[in-house]
Amino acid sequence: MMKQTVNTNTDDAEKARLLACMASVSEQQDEQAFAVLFEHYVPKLRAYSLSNQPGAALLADELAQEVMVKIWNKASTFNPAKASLNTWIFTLARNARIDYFRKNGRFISEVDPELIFSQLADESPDPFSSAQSKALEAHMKDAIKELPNDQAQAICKVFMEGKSHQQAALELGVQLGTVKSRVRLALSKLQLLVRR
Amino acid sequence: MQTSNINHPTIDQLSEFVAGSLPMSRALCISAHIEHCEQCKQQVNQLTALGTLQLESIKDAPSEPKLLQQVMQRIRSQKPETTTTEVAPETLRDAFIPRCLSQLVQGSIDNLNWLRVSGSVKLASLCTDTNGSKLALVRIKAGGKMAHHHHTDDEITVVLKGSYSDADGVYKAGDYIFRDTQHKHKPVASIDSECICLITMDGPIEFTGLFYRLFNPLLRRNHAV
Repeated sequence: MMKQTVNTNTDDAEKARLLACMASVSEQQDEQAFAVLFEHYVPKLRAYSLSNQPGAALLADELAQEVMVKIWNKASTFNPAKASLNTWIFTLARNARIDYFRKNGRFISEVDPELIFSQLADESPDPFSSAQSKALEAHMKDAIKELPNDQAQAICKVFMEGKSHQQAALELGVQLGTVKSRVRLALSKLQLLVRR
Repeated sequence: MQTSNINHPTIDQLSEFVAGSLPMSRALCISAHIEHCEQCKQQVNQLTALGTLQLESIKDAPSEPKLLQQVMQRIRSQKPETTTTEVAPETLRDAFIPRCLSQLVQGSIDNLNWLRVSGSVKLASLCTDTNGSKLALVRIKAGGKMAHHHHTDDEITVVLKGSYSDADGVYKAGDYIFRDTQHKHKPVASIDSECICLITMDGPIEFTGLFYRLFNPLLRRNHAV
């Protein structure tokens, strides 16, 4: 019990530190603060890219660069009252990956991925901002560690690696329906299903 | 479970939407639906929270130290105007056209290149996805009937304006309707207003009625464009 409180506190302190850096980048184009963000996020962004294309280290660098430049350029549009910094960066990374596939012909080029998700960014408050949502986030963090291996693997394939359920099924050597039910079970345990 | 899932994307489709793995034509249909549907929007936000948590806890893959230098160089050498956020043109777009389509539908939809499918049905192609799916707007006159047809592949319809019905139900603005090849139907627009829908078809539709079969070669050819 004690340990968990300590973890949450260091977690919160880390989040506050990154948020403060973000504010300095936004308000003063502070390069030192940006370097702190870089140090924290680039290894994650590279890992995110590598999860989809293992071995493509150059691509991982490119995607991480792309996102970091976006963070710098769009810093003033980031509103901590509306979204958490990590959510904002997750969406930038996801959109950068779509954009990469778009430029390489896997997706149609006529549509900017940002437009597809723009109405979400606009009005959605940080899903974890209120006290009640904090409890939900804590639950999700604990529950995700408790997931059976096959369910954890399935949601990783779908959300991090960006594989379709069909691709995930192929790679895991199971039926499409099996992947769908594993993801659904995981989402239900994480209490993320709005309707069941 | 009170609310039916019938006229919404499934959780699998919403997951792929959030992860960015959906073909663009389908992602656009979901985006159009979400503009109308608070529940699916909330679901998408929940799924985004999961993606965020996974990114937070992903095992780090550190970069070479020189990457920071490269990024700083790029930032310092970019032209000032690139730092302002590009705003999508909002001008003259019909109110019922979702924001995600603002690059594909500029100005009034009357200016699109409409193909007359029958007396009361017109179709304007917006783009072809890399998987061959066609994204199009369909316009049915008030009270207009579309001939009996079935789909040669999956089809998604999102009602943007007005409403229509078929043997299975009534569909109103925002509804998301998934049809597969098993499905044969005959949509009818409601009497009071024309009905405008966004559709994505993985394959061309085929009319099953005797007379309208004449149009099938035309639709196939149009699908290939």
